[in-house]
Amino acid sequence: MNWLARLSDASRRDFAFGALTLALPGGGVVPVLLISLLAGGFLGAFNGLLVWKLRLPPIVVTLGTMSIYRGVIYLLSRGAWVNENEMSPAFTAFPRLELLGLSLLAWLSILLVAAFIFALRRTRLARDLYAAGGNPHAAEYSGIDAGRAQFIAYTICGAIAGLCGYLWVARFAVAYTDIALGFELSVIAACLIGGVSIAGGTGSAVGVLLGCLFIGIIRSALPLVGISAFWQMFINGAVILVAVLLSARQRDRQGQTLEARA
Amino acid sequence: MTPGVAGIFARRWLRWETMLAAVLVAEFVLFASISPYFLDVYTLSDATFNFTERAIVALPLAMLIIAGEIDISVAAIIALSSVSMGLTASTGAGTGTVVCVGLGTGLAAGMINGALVTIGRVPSIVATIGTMTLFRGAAYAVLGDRVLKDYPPGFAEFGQGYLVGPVSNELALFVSFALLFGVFLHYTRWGQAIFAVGANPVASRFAGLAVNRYRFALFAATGLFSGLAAVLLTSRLGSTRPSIAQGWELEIISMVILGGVSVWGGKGSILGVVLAALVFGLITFGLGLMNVPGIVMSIFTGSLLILVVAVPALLGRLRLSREANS
Amino acid sequence: MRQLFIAVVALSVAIFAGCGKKESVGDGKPGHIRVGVVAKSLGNGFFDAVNRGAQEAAKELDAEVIFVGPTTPSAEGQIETLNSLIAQRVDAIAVSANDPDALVPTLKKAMDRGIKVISYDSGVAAPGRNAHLAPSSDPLIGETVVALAAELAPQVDGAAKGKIAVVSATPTSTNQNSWLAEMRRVLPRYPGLEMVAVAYGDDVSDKSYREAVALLKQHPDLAVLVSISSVGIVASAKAVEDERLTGKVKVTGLGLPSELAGYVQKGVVPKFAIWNPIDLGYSSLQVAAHLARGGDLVKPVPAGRMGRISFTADGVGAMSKPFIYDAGNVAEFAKIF
Repeated sequence: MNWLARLSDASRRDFAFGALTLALPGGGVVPVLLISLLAGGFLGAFNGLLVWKLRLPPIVVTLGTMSIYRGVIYLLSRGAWVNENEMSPAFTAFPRLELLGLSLLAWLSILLVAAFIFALRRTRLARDLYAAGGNPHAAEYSGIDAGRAQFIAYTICGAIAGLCGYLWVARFAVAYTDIALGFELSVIAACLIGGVSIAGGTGSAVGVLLGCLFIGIIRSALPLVGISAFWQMFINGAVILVAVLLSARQRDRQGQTLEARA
Repeated sequence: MTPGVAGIFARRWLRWETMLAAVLVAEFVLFASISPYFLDVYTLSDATFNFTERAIVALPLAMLIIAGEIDISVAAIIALSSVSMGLTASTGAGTGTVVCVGLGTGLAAGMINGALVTIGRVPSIVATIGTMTLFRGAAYAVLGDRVLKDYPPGFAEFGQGYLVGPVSNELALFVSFALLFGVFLHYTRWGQAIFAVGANPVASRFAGLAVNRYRFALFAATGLFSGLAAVLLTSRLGSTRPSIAQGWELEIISMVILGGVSVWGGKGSILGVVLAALVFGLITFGLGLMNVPGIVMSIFTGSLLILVVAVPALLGRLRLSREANS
Repeated sequence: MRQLFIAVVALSVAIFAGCGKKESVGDGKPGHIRVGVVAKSLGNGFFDAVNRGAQEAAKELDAEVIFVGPTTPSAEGQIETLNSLIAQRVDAIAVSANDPDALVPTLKKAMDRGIKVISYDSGVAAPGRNAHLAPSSDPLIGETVVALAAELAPQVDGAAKGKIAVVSATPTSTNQNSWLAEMRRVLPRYPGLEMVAVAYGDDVSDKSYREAVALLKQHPDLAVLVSISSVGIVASAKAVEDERLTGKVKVTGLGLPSELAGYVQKGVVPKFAIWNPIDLGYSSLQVAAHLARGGDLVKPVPAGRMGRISFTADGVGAMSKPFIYDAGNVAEFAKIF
C-alpha cells in the first residue's frame, strides 16, 4: 500500500517550498528544516485524512490534491520566482556541507534509507501496512486499523516530500511553481522497479533504494557519455522496460508472492 | 427497499452521475450569468475543442480501467502516432494513407502494451510507465529538433472542419463513439464480460472467460483511439513536434475517474465519462473566459475530482449515523 | 437515465434564459479597445515584465490589457487560451508562440472574426498573424552572444582563444534554434573560438543543471559556457559554482537581471545580455493598438517612447539590439525584472 502514499510527493514537495522560501528568506537552516517537514507532513496528513475518514480511493485523492496544491503554490507565490540572491548562503550551502568526505545530502539519504529498512522490518506500523496492503479483509478481522496506519504513512510521506522540497530548492537555488513537475511518475517508477507491488502488500526499502539508484544512474550517465539529447529518453524507456520484464519473469519463477514480512 | 447487489450498484452509480449532472448544470448557469460571451453558439462550439480529443481517448480507457488495468502511455502514443503521420506526409502521401498510418501506429503501440501485460506478465501500470517513456523517447529520437508540417491539403478537415453548422467533426466523432461504446459496454455480452474481468479476474477465468484476450483487445483499442486522437490533434494543429500532447495522460485518467469509473476495476459507466468530459471541458473554458490562469483552474478541477467522490461518501456517513441514532 | 433527462432540460432552460439577454453584449465606449496579451506560460518573470510594459502603453492609448497564458509552455494550452480570447471578442491579440505552426489555424480563425493578430518575442508563421515584432533580430542576438563569449574567453595574442559550449532550451524552441544558427554563422569571425557541444536543458532547472555538469565534466578545458535560455543560464551558473570552477569557466548568454544579480556579483556570470522585456511589451501593445484602430504597416509604426518601428513587406519588425548587463548596472535592473 505504501506506493500509493507516494503519489503526490512531488506536488507537495514544491508547495512546501514555494511558500516557505518566500516566508523565510533569511531564516536559519534548522527552522527551515522543521517547517519543511511540518508543511509537507500537514499536506500529507490532509490526503491521509480523506483516505482514512472518508474512505476515498487514494488515487482520486492524490490526483486531486496534486492539482490543488500546485494551484495554491501559484496563488501564494503569485507565480514569482525566488532566486539565488534572495536566499541566505546557509540556506543553499546546507545540503552541500561535507562530513567525512560525503555531502550532507548523501548522509541524509543514507540515514533515511537506514531508518526505513529498520522501520519496515521492525515496527508495528509497517506490519500493519503490509497486512492492510496484502489482504485488507484479513487485516480488518485481525483488528488492524488499516486506515489509521495509512494515514500515518501519508503523513510521513508528506513530511519527507517537504524535506525533499527544501533540498531541491537549496540544491538548484531557485524556487518556482513548476518545480519538480512530473516527478510523481519517476518516483512511482523507482518504487515499482524496486519491487514494490502495485497491488500492495510487498516491497522493501532496499528494493526502492536500488530502484532509485537505477533510474538516477541512467539519467546522469547518459549526458555524461555524450548520448544525443534526442535518444536519452528512448534509451531510458527501453532500459526500464527490460528491467520490469526481467523482474516479472523472476517473480513468476519464484511463484506469485514475494516475501511478505508481516 | 430490499435491493439486490445489482440494485445497490445501480443506486451508487446513479448517484455519482446525478452529482456530475448537477455540477454540469451549476457550471452552465454560473458561467452564463457571469460572462456575457458564454452563451453563443460559436463560443460553445469552440469550447468543445477543449476536451473532444482527450474525451475520445477516455472512452476506451474507461473500459480498460473497468477491466482492472490502466494505460499511462496514451499521451506518448498520441505523440508517436503524430510523428509517424508527419513522416508519411513528408514523403508526399495522400490524406487516406496518412490517417491509416496514424491509426496503425496507435494500434501497434497499444498491442505492444497488451503483449507486455498479457504475455510479459508485467503489471499494467509498470509496463505503461515504461512504454510511456519509450514511445515519447522514440518520437524525440526520430524527429529531433525538426517540425513536420507538410500535411496534405484535405488533412486539416478532421480537426478543423465542421459537419453541420457549429457541430465540428471532432464533436460528431466523439458523440457517435460515446453512443457506440455505451451500447457495447452496457448492453452486450462482451461488455458484461469486461465488468466481470475487472471485478474478479480469477473467478472470470474459472468461469471460462478468456481474460487475457479481453485485456489484450482493450489495450489495442486504447492504442487505436489514441491514434485517432493523434489524427484529430495533428490535423487541428497542422504540425507535429515530439512534445505534442505532453501531460495529457493524467488529464485523461482524471476525466475517467471523475466519470465514476472505479480505479479498482469492475465499476463505471460511459454516461459518467461523457458527463465528466463535459464538466472538464466547460470548467476550463468558462474559467478561461474569465481569464483565470490555467494553474488556478487546476485548483477547481482538483477540488471537483475530490468533491464528486467525497460528497456521496459524506452523505452516506450522515445517513448511517442518523439511522444508528434513531 | 432520469438524471440525464433532467440535465438536458436544465441545460435547455439555461440556454433559452441566457439567449434573451445576448443583445446587451457591447464593446463599451467607442475608441476603447481590448488587447489580449498571451505569454508562453504564466509565472515567468520575463512575461510579467512584458505585462508591465503593455499596461504602461495601455494607459497612454485608452486600451485594456488582458494578460493570459497557459500553465506550462505548450501549444495546446496556448490554443485554449486563444480560444477564450476569441470568444471574448477582443480587438487585438499579441502572442509569444510556443509553436510557430500549431497556433496558425486558431489565429486564422481569430483574424476571420476581425481580430488583429501580432506575435512578439517568439514568432508565429506568416499566415497566422498580421505582424511580428521581434525583440531584436536573430543576427543581432547571435552576434551579441558570440561577442560576449569572445570577450570572456582567454585572450592570446589579442585574440580570443578557447572552447565554448552552449546550453539551449528544448530542441524544438523556435527562438533558440535560430539564434544557434546565427551563432554558428558568426563564429568563423573568431578563429580561436571552438563550439564543442550543444546541450538541451529543456528550460527545466534540474535537467539544465545536469546537462551543464555533464558539459563541464566532458570538457575539462572549457573556457565559456554560453546559455541562450533564461532557465539554463541560472542552472549553468549554479553548476559552475558547485563544481568550484568560478573564474576558470565563465558563464554568459541571455538571462534576467533579477535572477542573475547574485551570480554577477560573485563573478560567475561577468556579463550577459537580454532585450528589455518592458520595452517589448510596450511596443507590442503600441503596434497591436495601431492595427486594431485601422492602421497599416506601410509606413513605420509610431510606438510612443520607443520611436518608430518599421516593418518589412512580410510584416516583420525588429525593436532594438540586446542590452548588455554587468556588475555596473545589474542591481538597478534587478529591481525591475
